[in-house]
Amino acid sequence: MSYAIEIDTNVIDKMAEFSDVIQIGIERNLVRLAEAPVTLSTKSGFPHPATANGQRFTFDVDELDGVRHYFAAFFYYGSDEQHIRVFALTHTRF
Amino acid sequence: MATATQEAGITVLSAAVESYRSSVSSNVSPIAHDSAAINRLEQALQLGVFVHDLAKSVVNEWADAVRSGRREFRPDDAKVIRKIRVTWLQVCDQVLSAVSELESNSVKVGFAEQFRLSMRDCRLNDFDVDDAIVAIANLQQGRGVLLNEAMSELRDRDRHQRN
Repeated sequence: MSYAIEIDTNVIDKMAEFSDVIQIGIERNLVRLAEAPVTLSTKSGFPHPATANGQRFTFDVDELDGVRHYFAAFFYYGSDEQHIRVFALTHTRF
Repeated sequence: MATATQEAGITVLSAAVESYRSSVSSNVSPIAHDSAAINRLEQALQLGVFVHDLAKSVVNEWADAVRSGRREFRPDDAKVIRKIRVTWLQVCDQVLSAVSELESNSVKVGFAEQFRLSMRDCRLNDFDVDDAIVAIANLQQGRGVLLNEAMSELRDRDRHQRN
């Protein structure tokens, strides 16, 4: 089963900070997450009550110049069990 | 009981980070390249990894206590944890700059890789607590954006910037 990915506007703003290549890389990884969230993520350390089943998904994306960017998407499962809701996206370059 | 244990965990973690900061400022020099200095740096790297592991353990216990209903979720707890995390990262930046200085001179520094992995993990856990709470509320209220729509919005923004 594949989930629909829903993201908050702050995540869109965060994505806008990056080049097209990185944005597409983030999109591809989120699509990958939608296919297999259980195997690709771990429990997050942010236990907000609305995100009792909150998870963290880490991935990396290479820029054209070879620089690797590391990301973590924080999400929870919607109560309809059809959506994954991403509320934070973090980034580091090393 | 669970709450007292977690308060103690956070206090211990906070003290460990402060102690780490003090140890780094007196033992790590970005300009010293002798073997004693490298040994001190490697010890600082090991200790940094240990503090990071301790932090993970304290955060996981807190998160499990909240999830199981043994403790109420309070944004201030998350902010205290974030503050400790940010302090640890600031100290680590100082350590990492000493490592990079040595590595640029082809000196191999033990434990540098584990240290970098710990730093990466910590940075990836670092987000603004208030922003996250607002984002969760937005998503709960149906104001989330589907991924394909978000990508279209990003392409539109890009076009506007180019024009």
